[in-house]
Amino acid sequence: MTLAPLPSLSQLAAPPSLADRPSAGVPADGFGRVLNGLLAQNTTAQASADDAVRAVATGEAQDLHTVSLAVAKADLSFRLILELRNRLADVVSEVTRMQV
Amino acid sequence: MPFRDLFTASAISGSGMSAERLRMEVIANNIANANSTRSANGGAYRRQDVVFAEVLGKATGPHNRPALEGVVAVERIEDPSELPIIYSPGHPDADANGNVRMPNVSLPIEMVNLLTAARAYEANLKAAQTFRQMNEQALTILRS
Repeated sequence: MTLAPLPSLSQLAAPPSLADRPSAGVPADGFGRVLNGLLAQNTTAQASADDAVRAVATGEAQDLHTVSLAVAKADLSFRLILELRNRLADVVSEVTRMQV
Repeated sequence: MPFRDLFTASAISGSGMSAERLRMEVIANNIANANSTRSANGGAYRRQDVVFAEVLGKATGPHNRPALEGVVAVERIEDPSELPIIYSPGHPDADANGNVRMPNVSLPIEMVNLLTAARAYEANLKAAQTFRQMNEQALTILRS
């Protein structure tokens, strides 16, 4: 009886970065479009922070400060968007409360 | 990317930190080789130094000035000063008279340079932190 050789395992692959992922469909117009536009702008900063952290994990990072700065940048831009979103949501709820 | 121009200051501070980190590496190499009588280009080790240069981008904006892009370490130079000679006939690298050429690395000078590099790194870090604080303070305007 002969044994067939085991098939070789496939190599490990890095997960695709955030920037490569297709973005969600943008609604036609209105409040949702504004919000989606803001969130899309944050994606690039998030992706670069993601790449920086992955570089640390895989040992490819050259500098620690590069990683810290990338993460700080993503944090700041996300908080800017969060504040803008809160502001927009306030405006919308203000409109809904309007007396007619 | 719309946020690129918002974070130029932190990128500039990052380039400064990278440059100072390289300077610290070179100084550490000098200290480590303070007694090396052999080097890649023959003879005793010569102390090294880095040369920094300003980086400017394309001219844009209302004033048409080149964009500021921080600093880069362009060159690593060797100190051409004379190598000190010590008398040590037993040394394998001694010449016919028993003299050995030692590296021109002076530990006190290297320690001062190390301190300067560390402080310059700290200054860049402080600039980056201040920039972040400024942005956070600007965000508080949106909170009612």
